[in-house]
Amino acid sequence: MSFTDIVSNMNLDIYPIISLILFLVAFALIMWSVLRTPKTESNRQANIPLQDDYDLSSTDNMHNPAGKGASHG
Amino acid sequence: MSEHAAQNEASREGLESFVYDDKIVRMFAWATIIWGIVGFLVGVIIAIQLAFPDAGFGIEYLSFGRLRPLHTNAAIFAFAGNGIFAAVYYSTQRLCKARMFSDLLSRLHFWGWQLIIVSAALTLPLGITQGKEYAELEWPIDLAIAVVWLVFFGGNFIGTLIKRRERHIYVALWFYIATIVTVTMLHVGNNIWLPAGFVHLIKTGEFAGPAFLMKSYPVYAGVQDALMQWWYGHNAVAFFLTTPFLGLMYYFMPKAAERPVFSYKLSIIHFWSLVFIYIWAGPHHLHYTALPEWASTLGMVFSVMLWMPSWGGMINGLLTLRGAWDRVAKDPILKFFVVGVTFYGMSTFEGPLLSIKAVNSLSHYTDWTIAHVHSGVLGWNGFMTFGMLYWMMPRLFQTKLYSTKLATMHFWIGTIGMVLYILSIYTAGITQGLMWRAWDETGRLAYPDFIETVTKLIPMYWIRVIGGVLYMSGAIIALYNFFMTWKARPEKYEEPVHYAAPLSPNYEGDPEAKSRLTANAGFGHAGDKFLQGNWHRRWERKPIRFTVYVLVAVLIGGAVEAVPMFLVSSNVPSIASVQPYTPLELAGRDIYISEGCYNCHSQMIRPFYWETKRYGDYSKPGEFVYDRPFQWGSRRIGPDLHREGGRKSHLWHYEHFKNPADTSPGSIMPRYPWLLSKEINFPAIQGRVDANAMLGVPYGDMVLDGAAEEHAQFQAATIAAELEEQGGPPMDETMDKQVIALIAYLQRLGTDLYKEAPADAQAQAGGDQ
Repeated sequence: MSFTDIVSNMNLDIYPIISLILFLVAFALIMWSVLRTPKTESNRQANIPLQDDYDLSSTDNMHNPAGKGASHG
Repeated sequence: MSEHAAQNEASREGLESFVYDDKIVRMFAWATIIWGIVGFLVGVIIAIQLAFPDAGFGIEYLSFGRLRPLHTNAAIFAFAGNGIFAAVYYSTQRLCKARMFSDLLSRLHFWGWQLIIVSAALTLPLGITQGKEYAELEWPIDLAIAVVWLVFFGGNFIGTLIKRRERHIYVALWFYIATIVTVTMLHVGNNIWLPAGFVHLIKTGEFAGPAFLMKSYPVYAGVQDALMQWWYGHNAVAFFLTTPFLGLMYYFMPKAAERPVFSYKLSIIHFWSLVFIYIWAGPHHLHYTALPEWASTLGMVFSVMLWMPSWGGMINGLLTLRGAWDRVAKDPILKFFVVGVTFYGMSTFEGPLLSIKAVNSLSHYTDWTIAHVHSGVLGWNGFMTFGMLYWMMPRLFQTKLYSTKLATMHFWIGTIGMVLYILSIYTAGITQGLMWRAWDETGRLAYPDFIETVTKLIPMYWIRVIGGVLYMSGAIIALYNFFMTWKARPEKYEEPVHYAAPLSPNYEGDPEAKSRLTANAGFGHAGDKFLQGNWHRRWERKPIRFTVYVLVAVLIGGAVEAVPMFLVSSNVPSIASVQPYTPLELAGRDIYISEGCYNCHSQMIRPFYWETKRYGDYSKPGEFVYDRPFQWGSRRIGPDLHREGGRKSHLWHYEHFKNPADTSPGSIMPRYPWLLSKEINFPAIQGRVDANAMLGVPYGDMVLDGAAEEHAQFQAATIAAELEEQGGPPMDETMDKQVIALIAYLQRLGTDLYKEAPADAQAQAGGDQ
């Protein structure tokens, strides 16, 4: 029996359901991990873009003060 | 040394110094705006051609079918592509606190990409194309794309991540990782071909012309080719026009708003949901076609699921402006970003809507799809790019923006242009779809003449031209503004030196979780560590592992769709009477591809009453087994051609190519006078047949030296004689002309279904059963 025969005998109609379950499992795990990130940590991460060129300030238009705002998680 | 300098020196002990490479960003930024204008201009030209077909002046290099791929490639790969690279090179260096890994790779990337764009601009008008939407470029250019994208760009980017000085990899960088990995996979997967001309040259030593040297045939055929192409096409939208722009959004919007992203946690969920779901949705481009039902349903379900992450991202982007909305009224950069993100929301609402089968039955093949695409590209990609450029240019040129008023003017002109464009084309699309399916009380089509459904749209096409001109005018204003800003640059750019500590190889922060269980169960310990949930935070610091996980996520989606398609024989039931194209028909088919006929004509009759009534029996998967590439098309500016064979005389086709308005008054098809004078490349025909035979097409004795060419000449003479009998020109004048090969192909289309199967094919079919 070839691999093609095996796949041909599979019930392909169930594929969308398998895909959905795979996604939901992955989604739930990521959500779990993300929600457990400490707020201070995610705030620090969210502020990274605002701290990256802190000493570039030779003209007014270029100056971009480091953001001090807090992310909502 | 002053006391202050000495203190500075002391405080920098143990730090590494570095300078950002902004020159490469300036190069990509200029390329973005210049290629953008070129792409918009070609778009305006072809928009005019739809409203006024003679605007191509009967010149082959200006015909709609050849210029439309040039427009799409320029807009996507030249404008959006260079915009992505400008954003990546600017933000990656700053987010990693490191100069790019290699200046040489950066320059090779820039010049290699521009060379690819120039190659596209030269080959597409010459009719050198693979004939697959958004993947038109032929094999030598495909190879160049693979090297430039993966080696120069990908290698440089990953190298920078590895030598970074910021421990956490910011979410924008994740979107860039997903872009690089997935576009590589898509590009390679959809461009597995046999270079027919090159193989012919190596095998026989015969050079059959430069165009044929670049000719390739995909290894996939028919339904499988369609699935691969739209897996590529859909995900090119996802991973070339969405994920990198989300990276751009997550970096540049906080910069412009001077506040962090609304929710960093939401951005993580946005990332993984998008990466995981998007890859499955490709088959929604093929509803009601010869694609199996399960694949089509899979595409629809996942498309609808895309609503949530897309809107999560949009809301995250807009709420980043919390407390700064008053500035939107004054700041053109924020205006561009707000409208850009709003268009992201609208397009990603509409995309899933269009993937629902019932809606798709109305929208597919109409201008509705074109409106959808343009709301995404002009609104989301275009405005995000312009917002980024306006924010970045003064910083790159180390001076103030020349004119904020001009930037604001660009915003309003662009917005009005977009609205005009999109609304008119929505109207055109829905009108078209409704007219196609309308029937009267006797059960007959209300608009049986296809041209009626075209001429109705002309006023909308003119409004689109106005919209396109306005949008392009905005980009020209931006170019002027940037040029004047550049003129005010300092004599020598300041190159500030930055200092940051290198990453410690022995980082202990956020260590691997330890099991809190006391029972001595291995699985329990592993589960408890997993549930503590800090594994993702560890991934976020490990670029190679993170890249591998992204690849795994996208590979799963691709494999679930593609593997059964290639392995399950029942997906494409064979039809005994369907036989390979004759050598001349094959040459004619290649002319059809070269002229880009698929840009206006589909070859896929869907199983709807109004379609079978208009075009004939619905299309079966087994009818396309020799189609390399498939030519189902995605739009009907003209009628479907799948059952065109035998419907009209050779003479009708001849006169139609000469001047469509003569045979079909009101037609917006351009004239093709060159087909009547250009000769068939007979020496290349053997190479075409041999290449198809190598890919498994049963050509039998036709592969013997010279057999295919001889057969093609005989068939061409036969058709030319029939044309003469029907009142056409003397056969001596036409028998070696391209129009004859094209007529041979068109007369064959869709006819095999009704033929008697050859005896050997019947025996084979019997054996299969």
